[in-house]
Amino acid sequence: MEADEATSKICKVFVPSKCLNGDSGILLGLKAPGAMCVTSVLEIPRSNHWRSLYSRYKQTNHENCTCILGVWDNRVDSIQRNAEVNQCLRFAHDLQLPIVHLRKVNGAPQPQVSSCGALCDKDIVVVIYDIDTLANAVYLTDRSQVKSNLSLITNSFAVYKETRSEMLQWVKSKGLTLREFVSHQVPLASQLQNHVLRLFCWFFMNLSTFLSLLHRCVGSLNGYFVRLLLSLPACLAQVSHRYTEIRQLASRCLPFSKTRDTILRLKLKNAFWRHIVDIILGVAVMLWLTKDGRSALLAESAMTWAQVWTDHPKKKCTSKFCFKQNVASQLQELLHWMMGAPAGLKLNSELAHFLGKFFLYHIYVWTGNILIFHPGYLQFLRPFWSDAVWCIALSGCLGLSVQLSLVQDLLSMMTLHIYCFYVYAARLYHLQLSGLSSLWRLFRGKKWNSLRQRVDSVSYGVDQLFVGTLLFTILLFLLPTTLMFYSVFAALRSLVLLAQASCQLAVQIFNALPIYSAFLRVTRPDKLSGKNGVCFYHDFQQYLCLFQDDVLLYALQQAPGQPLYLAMQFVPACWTKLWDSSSPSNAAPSNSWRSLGSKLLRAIENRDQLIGIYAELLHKRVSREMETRHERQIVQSSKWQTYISSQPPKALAGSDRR
Amino acid sequence: MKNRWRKVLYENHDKPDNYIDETFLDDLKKNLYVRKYDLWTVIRESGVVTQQISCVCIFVLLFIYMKEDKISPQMLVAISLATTFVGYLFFCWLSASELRRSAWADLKSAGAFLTLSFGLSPILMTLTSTISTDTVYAMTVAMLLTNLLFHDYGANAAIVSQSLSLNAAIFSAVCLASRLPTRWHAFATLALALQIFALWPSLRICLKQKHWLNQCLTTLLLTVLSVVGMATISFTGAVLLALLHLFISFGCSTWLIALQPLKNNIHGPWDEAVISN
Amino acid sequence: MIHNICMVSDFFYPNMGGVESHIFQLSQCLMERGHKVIIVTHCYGNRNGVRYLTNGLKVYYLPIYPFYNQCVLPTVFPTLPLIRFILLREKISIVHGHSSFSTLAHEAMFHARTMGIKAIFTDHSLFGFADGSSIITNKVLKYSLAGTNHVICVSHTSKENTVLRAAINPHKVSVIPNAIDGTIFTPDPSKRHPCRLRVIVMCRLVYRKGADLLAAIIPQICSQHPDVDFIIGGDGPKRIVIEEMRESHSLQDRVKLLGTVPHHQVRDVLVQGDFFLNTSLTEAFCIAIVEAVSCGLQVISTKVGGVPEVLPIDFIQLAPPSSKALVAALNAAIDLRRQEKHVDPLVAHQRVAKLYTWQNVAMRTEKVYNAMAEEPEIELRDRLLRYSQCGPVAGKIFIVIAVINYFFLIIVAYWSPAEHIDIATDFPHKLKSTPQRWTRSAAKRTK
Repeated sequence: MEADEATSKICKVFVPSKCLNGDSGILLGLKAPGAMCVTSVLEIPRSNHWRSLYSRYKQTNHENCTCILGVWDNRVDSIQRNAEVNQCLRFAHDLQLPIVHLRKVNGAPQPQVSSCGALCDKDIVVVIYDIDTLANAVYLTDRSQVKSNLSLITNSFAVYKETRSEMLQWVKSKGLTLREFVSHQVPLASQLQNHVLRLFCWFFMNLSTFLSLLHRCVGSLNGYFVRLLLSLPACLAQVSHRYTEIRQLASRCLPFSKTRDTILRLKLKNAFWRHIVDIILGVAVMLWLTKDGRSALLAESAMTWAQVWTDHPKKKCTSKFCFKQNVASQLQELLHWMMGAPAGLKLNSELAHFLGKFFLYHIYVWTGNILIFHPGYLQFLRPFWSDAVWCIALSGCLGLSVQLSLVQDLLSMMTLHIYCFYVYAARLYHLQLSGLSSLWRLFRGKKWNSLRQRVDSVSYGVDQLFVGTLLFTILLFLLPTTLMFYSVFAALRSLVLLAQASCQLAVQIFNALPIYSAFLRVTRPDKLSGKNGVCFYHDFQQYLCLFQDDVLLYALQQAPGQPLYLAMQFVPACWTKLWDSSSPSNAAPSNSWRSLGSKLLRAIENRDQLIGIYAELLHKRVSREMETRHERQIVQSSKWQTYISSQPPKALAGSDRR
Repeated sequence: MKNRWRKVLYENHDKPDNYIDETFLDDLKKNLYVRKYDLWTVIRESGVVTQQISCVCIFVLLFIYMKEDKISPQMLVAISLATTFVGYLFFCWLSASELRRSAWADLKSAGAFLTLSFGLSPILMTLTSTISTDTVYAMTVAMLLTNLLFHDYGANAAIVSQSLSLNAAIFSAVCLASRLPTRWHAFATLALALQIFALWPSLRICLKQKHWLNQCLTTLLLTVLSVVGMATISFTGAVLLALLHLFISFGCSTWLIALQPLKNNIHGPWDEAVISN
Repeated sequence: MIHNICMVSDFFYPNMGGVESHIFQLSQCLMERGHKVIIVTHCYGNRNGVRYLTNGLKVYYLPIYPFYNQCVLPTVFPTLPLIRFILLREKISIVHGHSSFSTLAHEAMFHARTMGIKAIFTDHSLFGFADGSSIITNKVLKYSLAGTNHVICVSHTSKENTVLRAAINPHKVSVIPNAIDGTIFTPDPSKRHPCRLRVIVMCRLVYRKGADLLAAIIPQICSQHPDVDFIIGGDGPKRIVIEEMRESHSLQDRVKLLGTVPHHQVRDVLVQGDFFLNTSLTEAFCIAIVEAVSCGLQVISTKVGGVPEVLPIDFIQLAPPSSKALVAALNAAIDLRRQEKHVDPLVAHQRVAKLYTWQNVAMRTEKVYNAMAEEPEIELRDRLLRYSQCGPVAGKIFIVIAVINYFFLIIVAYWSPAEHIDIATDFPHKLKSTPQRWTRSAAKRTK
């Protein structure tokens, strides 16, 4: 039905419900192939104005042009104008216009349509809707390509808005009145919002031009390094992400009043409000932190948490943020445990001792011991620590998400030693594993042929075999020890990464929150439409929801010889649609727990990859749940559809109706 | 006119499909490639297997001696080096006519072996200290069996893999070396394994090629050595070993020859063809 | 007489191969003669359940997964309920198993004999006797064929081989050769090269098909005849050997490797050539050479297995499996061609297409079915006696298995009686003629 509407037998007529309350008049509106949309009703002119009326609003094939659609006849109210209406109809008939003659009969709520002219052989479907909600709607999907009903209506009203002033002029010159349906009073709040947004965009564009000028002036900073610098610490990445997002949207939206693309405007509004909310929350956190010197306290407790608990016994447990045990001492205990026989595992004691001593030395370097004035890394950090926390607080000006990313960065800085340990253990383990695999091939008398990418058999010399087997035995028996160290440190590192990933996930979710859309959805649900935007009611009492806005589905009852009357009502977008329309598309390669496991096992590491993988896996779980909910809804709606379509399509089947 | 039945598929339409001609199964041939075996030749050739088994036993015996401190590792190293040297001279004399590596290359690899073994022996000493003795002995036995199974006895079979057998022997040597107390012990075990499993087979092949009598003499010598050595450890072991040797040499040979008349190899046009050039 | 036939094999569509197309073509021709044919095979991936092929050929894709080498795991008893259900549902009177490798076929025939339905087996390949896998397969075959009523082999050599392997009465074995579709494999001399001679090789590049021989022959021929090219279709582990030979002798422009050629394109490749070379080391029938002759090519082949029985001597040059002899044979064929003394392609096609047709195969198979149907039914005791003759130890085991299966059948029959099984409606196949229907009910002897 969608495909070939021009030659189809169906003509859809969209009539605003306000039209049915007023006086009789001539229906003016837009035509499209297979559909008509009424935008205004003109008072019936005297016969001498007919010619000029016709010449002005004759029906052309031009799509974006207002023309005469038909006649609205409210005879219950105005019996004396019978003659004029009849004259109207006669005139239309003479001119062979396809006219819709809408008539209210005996005060009954249903209008009746009789078509004449070129519409005689078509099946008419009259769709009555409430203009106020529909005309200002925002659609979450871009349906401009598809000739849907809603786009037709919005298009007609947009055209009407454009040509309104000259139409009013002409009408006044003839001394007639025009009944309009759309009120053009933009509410104050949205006017204000539009002004603010316009200012915001203008400010932002200027800022970006200034920054780019600055960048050019500063000189030849290599773009690659700048990008690297911006992406490495999470806070800077977040700031730059925010900046680029708003800049893109602003640049596309800047001729603000002229943009018709409502989705873009919605996105811009979302971004704007997200920014505002972010800053408000960040400032709140900042105020809370800087009150009563809480930041200094936090810094101190974090430091003691990381530090060896050998010094400053006075600072014990007076504040409620103190932990009984802290990370470095726990690490030391862990290492001592591993150097023994942990969990009854058979480790090579020499190697275990050697590796244990090695890592203990690192912890020693990390924490330092004040008693012999050895400056450790943490000691080095200590004076800057409270400043760092104060910085976090201050960055609340830029927003809560920036604070969170700063926390993530500080966490990674504080756990640098764990990262070091992990890297050492991973390298060692990887080396041992690759050596073992190639020596195992030697053991069997085979070799890896890299040219042909396969394993070939080869005859080795005795000396090669001897050395190879010796090394193989040694590596094999030393493997459990290395494996244990590696797994312990990999587990620790994974914990840290999980913490970081959850921070990052929170930031990502925040970056995608459709705040403004949600606000609209809650307060003015009629303004927001998703793909399943409208539903049709038949008989005005039966609330049958048919969740397709493109296809008019079959009605349950149909009186023969009468056109089909449907009421179209808005369906507000569901929450999953809101989320989907605003979350960024993930084009990254799909990761699974299995690939993560295999990467860990073979000790292939890449920091950002791992964080990204964790974050994506967490995000996947969240979005998968939302997807299944969305799918369930679609399944339910399609069940209705099959129920409906199981009825034989009597209504729109054939030409035997006429 | 009735044509004679021919063994083709594009004729014979008048005969039923399950017709059996008198030429049915004419192409069947039995036992085309059966070899005739001579008892004493078989017994002599089976000496290869007994020699390898004896070598393994001698190796294990020497390990047991070292463990029980009946022989000091330094002494063992000295003996083993001396015998290697003698054997090397003998080998050079025997294969004087053939193309070989130069003496300098041999010396270099010998030096490399010794240095590596000596250098790695402290690590090897404590390699399996936390693994239970039973596991280590089980692994050793498995590896020595692998050595016996995959050893190149001169037959052209698919199962033979020289690398695998040598590697299995070295692996077992390392396992055993880790059970001994000092680094000299470990070094001695390694040197011994190298000598017995890596160097001795080439000398043996050389000897065999020269004259068949060498083969018998070496078999006898090694068997006697292993049985006598086993007798010093445990009498039942020696008896069992002697019985095993007798079984392999005499028992299996007579069994093989006794089974030959029962062969029933079927050959015919259905066999997968062997490419002849 | 009209029979209800069930063809069983592990190998069927969507696999493409010799056995698969044999089953399909035979079924189609039997259906044209008025019989009812269904096919039972295992599932292929998602292809599970009942499907219908051309002319309503019903195929049951059983939900049993292939285990090794496209065959199902040989568990004897669990397949009994399912197969019994199918056989009763379709009122099957004859179960026809294909291919010794197919465990499903053996199991189905075994269950059919337990239920008293006639079983017949077609063997498509040759086996040795000496290696481990052959010994086991031969034992299984002995057991399986001890119970069947009749065996079909595709050549006389194959008959001798089967009789020796399974130790069965040679009167129980019929020789019915394979066939080709003469309407597809038609010659087209216009596709040949006007100046150069082409040798086509179309086989899997594995050791069994003589890929090493091929690699030895090609350089010699190419050096002796500068106007001879080779086109090799097929893939396999030995492809590397051919490619190495190609590179070392710089024959890249004279030897073309096509890789795997899909089944529907084989004829297009064949008509491009003048000669067809078959170097396989063992073949029961070798349909490829018949297809080649049908397309008008001259055939040169190794004299192995059943190949000498297939074609008359003027169509084929035979040689023992050595590179020297094959080169000589190929030279002889090329000389014949140069002197224009070879058989005209159209004449060759007409002769061969008449010799090996699927309708002929179907007619001969129908004769076997009729003969089988008139045989008296064997008692359980006699069957068990035959099993016990399979060997001193193995025979006893086989008897035990057969008895257990019999009891299991009784239990299954009690659990789901034959009266409660819905009989499937027959598909109205397109017939060539309408013979009388066989009135004896197939459900009479089933329990």
